[in-house]
Amino acid sequence: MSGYIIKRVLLLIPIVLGVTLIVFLIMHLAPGDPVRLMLGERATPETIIKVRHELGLDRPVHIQYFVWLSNIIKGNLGNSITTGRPVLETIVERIPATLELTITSIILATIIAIFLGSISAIHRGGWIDQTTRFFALFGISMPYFWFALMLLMIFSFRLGWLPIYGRGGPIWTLDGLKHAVLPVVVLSLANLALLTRLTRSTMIDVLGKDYIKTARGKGLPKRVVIYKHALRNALIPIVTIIGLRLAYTFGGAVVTETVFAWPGMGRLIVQAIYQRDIPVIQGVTLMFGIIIMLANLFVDLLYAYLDPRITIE
Amino acid sequence: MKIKKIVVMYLLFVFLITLAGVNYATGGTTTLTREEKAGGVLVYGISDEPDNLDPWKTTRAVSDNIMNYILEPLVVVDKNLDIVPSLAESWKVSEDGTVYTFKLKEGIKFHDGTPFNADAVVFTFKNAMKGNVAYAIESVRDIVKVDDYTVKFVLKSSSLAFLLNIADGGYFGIVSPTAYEKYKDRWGTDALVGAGPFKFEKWIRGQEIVLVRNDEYKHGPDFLDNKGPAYLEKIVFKLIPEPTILVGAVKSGDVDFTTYVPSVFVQELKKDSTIQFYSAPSCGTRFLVFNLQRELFQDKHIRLAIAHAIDKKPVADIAWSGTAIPTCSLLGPTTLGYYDVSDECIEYNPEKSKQFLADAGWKDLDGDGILEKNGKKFEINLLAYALSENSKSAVVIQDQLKKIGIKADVETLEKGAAIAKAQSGDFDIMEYGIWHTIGDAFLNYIAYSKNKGVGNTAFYENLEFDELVTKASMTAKMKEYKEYVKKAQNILLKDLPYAPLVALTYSIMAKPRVGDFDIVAEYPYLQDWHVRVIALEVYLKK
Repeated sequence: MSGYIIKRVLLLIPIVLGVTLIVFLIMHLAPGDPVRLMLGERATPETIIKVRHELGLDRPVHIQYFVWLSNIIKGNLGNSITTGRPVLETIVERIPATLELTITSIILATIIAIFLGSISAIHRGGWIDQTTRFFALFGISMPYFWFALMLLMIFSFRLGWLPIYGRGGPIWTLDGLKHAVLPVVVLSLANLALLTRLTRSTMIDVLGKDYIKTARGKGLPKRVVIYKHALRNALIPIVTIIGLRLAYTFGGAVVTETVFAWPGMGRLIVQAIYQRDIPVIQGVTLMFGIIIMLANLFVDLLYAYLDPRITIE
Repeated sequence: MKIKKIVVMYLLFVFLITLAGVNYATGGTTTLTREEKAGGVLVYGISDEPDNLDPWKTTRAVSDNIMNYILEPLVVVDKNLDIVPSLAESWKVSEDGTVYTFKLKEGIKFHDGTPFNADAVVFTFKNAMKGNVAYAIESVRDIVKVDDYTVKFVLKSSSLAFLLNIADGGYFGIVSPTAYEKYKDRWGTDALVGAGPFKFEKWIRGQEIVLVRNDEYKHGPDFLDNKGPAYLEKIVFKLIPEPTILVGAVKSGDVDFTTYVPSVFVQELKKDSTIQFYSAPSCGTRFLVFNLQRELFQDKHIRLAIAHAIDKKPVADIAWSGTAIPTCSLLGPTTLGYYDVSDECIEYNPEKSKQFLADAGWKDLDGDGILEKNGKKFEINLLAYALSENSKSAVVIQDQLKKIGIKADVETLEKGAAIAKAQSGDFDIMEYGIWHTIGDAFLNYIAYSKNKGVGNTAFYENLEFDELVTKASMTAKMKEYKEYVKKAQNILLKDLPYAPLVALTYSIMAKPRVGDFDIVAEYPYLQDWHVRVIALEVYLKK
């Protein structure tokens, strides 16, 4: 097992670096001069040349990338072009907010989806099933942005129950929890809908298997049949999808963080893209890549727990 | 029955007395004392976060705004654009307008307790002259300390704009040299020390910047009733990037005040009795840029044809939701040097446009509605920022050009990409505009020949224009200045590298609890010179 983990972590390095190289090239190909954007339209050509030199942006692109790469090895992600602050410091400030939002939304979506999907499968064709399927379709179709604004209009502006923007503190505090409710609900929506549908179809399939009939025939309680025998087998594809959805969830966090003024990495990278702040873009991309790879590793390890037939080699 | 009548009359009497009392309490002109006004935290909504608060590095308007509360300039501007003393007690100007000798106020301390004096002024400006906004004081040759409270600025040539530029407390407010040395590594990120009405407390990235009242501040400008300290205990700049949410936050009371009001909300907010809302003319304008590097636009008749084809009212109403004002001037109404250009106005006249095009040999030979000449269709690209108002403006113009047989393909790009394209001359016409407070600097930026490929996106060149703009920048006499600016703009309006479209207004909104908010609206939105008014006059009703 530990050998497998080490192998996966080592594999992470070329993959993530490959992604950062692609992003680096794309940002350099994109029109827009980061120094011009930083200094404003009225900056003189002399000032632009001076600042570009100070920031090392007048060096060839491949030199810039290798300098960045060599700094990474020393644990230095460079400095932001716009703020001058260390990129690592900037990211560390923002990571907790994004992780809080994405992890909470994934956990919430998974728990509710498994419950709803199972109930829907058990009562297939009934009103619970019909209602669940309707809301699942709604969730898949609904754009994050629109849904966020609707929730804000109802729960914040009209009813005044929940705050309009910002992060009140860590989610385990009351203020933090109040601020997190709407962004977490918005971010959970697509995952909840997709996982509910998946759980339902997987459970329907599993509930039709012979070993379930055998379990029922042996007189096992319904709860044991469903949760110990059926659900456990249905979870494997669900866990797979969760792993795949992680990247989408981080993408969704970008929109959600912007609407709710949530101070996370999603908003940071959007600002950085507008400003052509390449060191920040590279740093956040690197961080997202590491998080997603580690999360997928965790998902792979979870398989072995769920299905003893699967061995980690 | 009789008793019932008496009871009813009595109740009516009590009701009327109460009503009169309420009217008196709310409608009367009771003057509040300082103690009654003092206190409270103003939540100021902003939609853009500063990159840093280093006056020698940042060029962002939001940074300038916030720094204005922390730093104090030598002079400030009142609502009539007159320069009045601030940290400077008085000043003398030499005969030729090249030497400004400032007598500084004594007994003022920075937030760190160190004294404000000539050393601090020299230190500040020496750094400013090497900074990223140095272009605003490029007329300054040297700064000399005469004594502890006297400083001399030696200019390369006289300049009316010099005092106006240094009145910006954000970029040219005086800093504490001691504090700079102490906080060098964190300067502008976690530390900024000046002599302004508020002190920097903290900056939670992505969320808010908090300023606290400077209780030692008592040197506010004479045109304000309150010379200091500020009534407000704190100002919290809350970052809410999404404009819809920001407006909603003010309406719901989470935010007290904002100057970031998208034009699409303005008409609705004007009718909203739950908020205080003001709109006023500004120094911003929008105009069409003709790329004179393109052979097509080197023919003035083509430029005239396009200019006459544009009805500015729909641009103002549709793109700017009725908040913009059709204009014939490139200068904004509150820009220094602005004058009424109705004589030089190019009126909406599509028939005239068609005539100009026909005279230039453009005809619709195949009946498809698009003009042709020598086998080539009149198809051009119209570049605009991918921001709501700008892209809508481009679409309105596109529709109007279609009516005279010109097919304009609208290309909207994110700002960085659009600027890159414009400055490289990779466009035909462009919907563009900037905010600028000073007329000669604005004209210089957009049309001076040496600025081709920078602000001069029309790639225009006219030596007479260059000379007039240079003379305007070098005179210290207001009458002469206005004459030069007028002549320079008239040349532009005649040559038409730019076709004026609309003048922009600025809007501010606040919750009812923000007191004396109407005074803020009297001051023009000029690089946040109205900051002093907000800082010292605004209070929160209890």
